[in-house]
Amino acid sequence: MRKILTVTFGILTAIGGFIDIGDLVTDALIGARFGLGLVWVTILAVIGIMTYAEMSARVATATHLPAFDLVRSRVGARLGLAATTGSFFATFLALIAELAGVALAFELLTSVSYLLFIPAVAALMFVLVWRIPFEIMERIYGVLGLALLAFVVAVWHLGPDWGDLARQVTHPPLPSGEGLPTYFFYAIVMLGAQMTPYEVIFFSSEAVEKKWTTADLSTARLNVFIGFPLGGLLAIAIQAVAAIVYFPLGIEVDHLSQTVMPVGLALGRVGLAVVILGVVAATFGATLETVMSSGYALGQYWGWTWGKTVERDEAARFNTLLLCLLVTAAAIGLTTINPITITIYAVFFGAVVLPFTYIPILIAANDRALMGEHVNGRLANGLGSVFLFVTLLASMAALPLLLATKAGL
Amino acid sequence: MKGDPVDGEARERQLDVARDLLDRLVVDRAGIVIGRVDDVELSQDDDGTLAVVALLIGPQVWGRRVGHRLGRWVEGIARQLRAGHDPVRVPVADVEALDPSIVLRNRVDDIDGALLAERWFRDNLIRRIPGGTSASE
Repeated sequence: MRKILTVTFGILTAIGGFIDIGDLVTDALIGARFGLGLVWVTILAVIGIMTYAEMSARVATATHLPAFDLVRSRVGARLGLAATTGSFFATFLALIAELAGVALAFELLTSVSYLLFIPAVAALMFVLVWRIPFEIMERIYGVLGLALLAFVVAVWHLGPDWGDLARQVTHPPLPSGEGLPTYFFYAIVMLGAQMTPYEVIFFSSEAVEKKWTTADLSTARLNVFIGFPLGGLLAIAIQAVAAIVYFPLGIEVDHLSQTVMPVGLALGRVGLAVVILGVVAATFGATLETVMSSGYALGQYWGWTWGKTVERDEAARFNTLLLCLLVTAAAIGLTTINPITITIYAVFFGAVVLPFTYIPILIAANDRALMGEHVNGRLANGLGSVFLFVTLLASMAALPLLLATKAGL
Repeated sequence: MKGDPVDGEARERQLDVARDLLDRLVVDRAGIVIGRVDDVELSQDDDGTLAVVALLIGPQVWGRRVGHRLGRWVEGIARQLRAGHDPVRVPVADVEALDPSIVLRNRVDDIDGALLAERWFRDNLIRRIPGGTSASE
């Protein structure tokens, strides 16, 4: 019974963990602009993140070393520094976006400006990191994240032309005024939103800190292989409601309220309240994950004591860093920088650094001396290589496309 | 670069310094993380054979090894902040094991200059926040 509960919570956390502010913003934005024409990217991203989340967890279980320990000891101090700072920066940008996302969600609920919520949420985050065991928080926001299913229900209630939607998936529409460079720019943005570097950092650090055994790894695999595809389905639902409501009218999405509005249209005020609760839960959890992952990236590279379960005064540098990150993220959020803009830049930069986070994992996973029986098999290597190629391609095309399309304008 | 025997016993062992020593995590006898091997100290015999004499740990050492403007900047700052403490130096005789992390025979309290920054933040910031002091103290 306990095992069933653990697996259920694990799947829920994976579903909610998949959806963060990056998804909520980019899925709505892209659904409004390209309909369901980029669903293929979601499908690709789900397979990609399943591959690398599993691989990084397996490496962590076999070696008892987390991602950024391996980056430095296998790739070296200089290249390792580049990969670490890149991933750190991408994750820190994501933290700012997630923090603003929680604040925005509260604004949607209360009509009080999100700027007032930013310092409050940051302070709450610190108190939680400081005092509350992580498992409890994970379970709470994992369960509440189920409220996001309102998106799926809304798709049904909106009664769309299913044939039309299906055609958008298989024959991506390119509306007049949109060029192929913009289409591919947003493909990269969506890839970065759904294959986040911090997921892999967080996962492998958890595996090391909890000293996962092969049994724990099997449970984690179950969570990943069921949870992430369900998360992907949720992401498609967010694109779909935007595609149904905004795309035919050519309405642009530039605010979080527009992401949830179609749910209100379909399911009324109750549905809207439920889905906003889901948004709060998802962004809340993502804020915690991004702040911890940013700390892990630096702490692991520099050789500090780190972790959720170590005493605060036994990981002084790590906890000081977490505090500084929350304060800085809140300060940047308070400059009234547009949360949508920072979200786009966060996921974009995430797409750029993604291959550099994955390469050390793929290398380590192939080292038989290091991995023993857990070394990569043909499937892991096949998929791993394919997605390394895909993410490298995206990373190289990212900057040129950003400049060519003026950030998708 | 090959190194000569590293552990205190008479066993001969070929080492690849870059692969087996550099950038590895170093922990003390109790499992407390001291840092990473940021550089190694070598000695040279009359016949030219190089041997690893000590492990060097710390941002000061890291900065000097990494070099370029960033490395030199970090080295400079670290040296200032450490105010006279030499870099953490672990003689190879103190190394107990090498895999997967480097484990030492001694405790971190016996190592000169170790965990200065960690302790500073612990005493001046973390322990000043309510709830920061663990029950074990």
